[in-house]
Amino acid sequence: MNSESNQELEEFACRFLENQGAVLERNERGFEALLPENLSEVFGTSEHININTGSDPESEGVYSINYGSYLLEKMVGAVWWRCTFVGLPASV
Amino acid sequence: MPIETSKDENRQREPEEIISYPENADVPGGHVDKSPLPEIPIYIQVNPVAFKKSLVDGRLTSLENYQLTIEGHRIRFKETFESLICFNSLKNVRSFEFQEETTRKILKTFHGRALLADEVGLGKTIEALMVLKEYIQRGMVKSALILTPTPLVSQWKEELKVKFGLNFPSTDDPGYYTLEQSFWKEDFILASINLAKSKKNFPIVTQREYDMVIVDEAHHLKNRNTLNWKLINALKKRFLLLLTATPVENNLMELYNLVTLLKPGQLKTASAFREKFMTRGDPTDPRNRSHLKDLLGQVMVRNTRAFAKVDIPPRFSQTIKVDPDSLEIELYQKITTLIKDINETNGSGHKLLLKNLLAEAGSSPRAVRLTLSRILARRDMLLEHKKRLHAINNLCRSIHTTSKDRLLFKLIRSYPGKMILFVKYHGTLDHVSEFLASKGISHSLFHGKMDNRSKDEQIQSFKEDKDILLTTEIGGEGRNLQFCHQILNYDLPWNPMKIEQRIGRIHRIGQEQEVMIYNLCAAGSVEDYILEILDRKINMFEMVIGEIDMILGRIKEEKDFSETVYDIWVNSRSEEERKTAFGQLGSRLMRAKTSYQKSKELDKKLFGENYEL
Repeated sequence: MNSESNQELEEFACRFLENQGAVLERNERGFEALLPENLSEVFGTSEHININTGSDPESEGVYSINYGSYLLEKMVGAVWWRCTFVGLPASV
Repeated sequence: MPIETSKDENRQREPEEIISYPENADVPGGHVDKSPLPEIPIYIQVNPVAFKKSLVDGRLTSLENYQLTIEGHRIRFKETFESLICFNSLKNVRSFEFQEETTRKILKTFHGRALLADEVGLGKTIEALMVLKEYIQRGMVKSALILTPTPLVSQWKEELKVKFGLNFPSTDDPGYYTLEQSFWKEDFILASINLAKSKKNFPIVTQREYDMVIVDEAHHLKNRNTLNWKLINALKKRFLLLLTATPVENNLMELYNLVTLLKPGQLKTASAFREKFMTRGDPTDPRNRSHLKDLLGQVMVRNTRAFAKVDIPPRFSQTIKVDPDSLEIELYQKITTLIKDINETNGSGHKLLLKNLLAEAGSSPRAVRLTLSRILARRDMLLEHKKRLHAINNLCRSIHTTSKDRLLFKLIRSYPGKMILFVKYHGTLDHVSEFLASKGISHSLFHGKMDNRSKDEQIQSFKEDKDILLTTEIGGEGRNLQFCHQILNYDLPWNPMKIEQRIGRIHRIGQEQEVMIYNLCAAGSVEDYILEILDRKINMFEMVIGEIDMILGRIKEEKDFSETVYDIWVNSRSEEERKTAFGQLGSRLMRAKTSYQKSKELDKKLFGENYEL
């Protein structure tokens, strides 16, 4: 019973991680992520983590992406403070 | 959009700063609403120092970063539960402000553990399912167990599917008994509480974890020594919703037991609760009311009709018994005898088919004929009874206009105005439609085989041109039919919840006139006995919406009501025995009704209007 909302969160997480320089690889349970050192420090996790998009519970090194989940909170917290001007190319 | 910059954030806002939209503004992609829009004040305040510094420093971010920031803000906003995200995905649900507020309160304040004790008919199910759907959509609930009394499983199943797009496997599903243990391993389960607590299932059900558990008619958990209470207590769950309109039936300790399931320790220990809140000699009269109110207010919502401003006019009914003619009597007797004979030799073999055949006999000969044709076309079914089946089929063919048809014609003439005629079977729909046409009575048709466009056209024609809408059970699901206030049950579902659904098509919020329900039945038929109980004994047709659920939920009966009725019919050896068995069923319903009314009065006295939003 995967919902649209889960999909949105998953997309946000992937976009955020890639934006921060993480390398992602999809697998049947979600994806594996290799995080840059500074990001793993922000998250308080190891550099190699698994992100679950299904209903499996979290365990060591395995995180889920839901409203209120640890990793999502960290990601939202990391972008939350940013609010500067956007530099757009002249054509936009 | 104008940007207001201010050095002093506390400056008094001036009325002229309010931005209003032009009265006839076009709504993109929608209809043009000519009514004036409400004035919505919008302010954007910018810290001028930070604003200038950012510009001067040239600290610019990329579009990608900006979009991520916006997305992050959106997620954070949703997390607060201020904005419920489930609404967009609901179908055929018109939720009311009090229901939405209740949902928010459960999510935000009660953190998903609450006693939902709205008065009957205010839509506790809708509120609970909005909470569930919200959690599912947010990814916070990935497994759930809904427990209800047996007679209410089918209703929940339909609400979940039709209104919330959730297809839960249920203990009512034909496959349940073949799935056995694997059923209880599903992520989402809708189950009869009686089956869940059975000796066989209890350990399986309580072994695993659920993100959410919902228990309907939770007054069945009032006694902590019962298996019901022990089951809910033993379940490993994160969120828990207990639904009941009557949290206290006899004793305040019942409330203690319910609240303790939700929030152990909220009312301290049983003896401390007794000492502090109960009056010696009167277990229903609380002491320290205001303290108790504070504690209950942290786990309980109870909306009243007065608060919700839900005021639906009453409904009245008239049951008209028809004396069938000799051919009709012969047909009914032949079918009954055949079914009883098969039941005696085959036991429960073909039970569903035979039950259906008997219900069709109470509907119309055309409905019977359609089923018989299907049976006779097969070479592997009821072969030894072929001769009798052919005889019944021929008898059906010889009956054209029935006694019910003649009475129907008289009723339509006597009670002018819009009327919905409910039938259960497509064969009966065709039969009645032809009869009406032969009498020159123009009518709209509505049934499940139509596409949506045809359905809309038929409803529109009923609303504008025609006085009669002839429809099957699903008639008008989700469509607004409150412009009509008369229903005629040409035949009768054996399940009272199905009858209630028919009535509910027009006896709902938005109905402005008193609703009139006419029931037709042939004397001596199963339907005659059912009506004797539902109409004359418990006066179901004139109840407030939702009360029949309360009564059926109070009967300690594992079987569906229609099953009970069928079993009485086929297993009674004489007319006398049948009357006695139906009488006993009626008495059980009467007792359930009395018990419900007693609790209703007590809860009204106890809670008054103190636990609303």
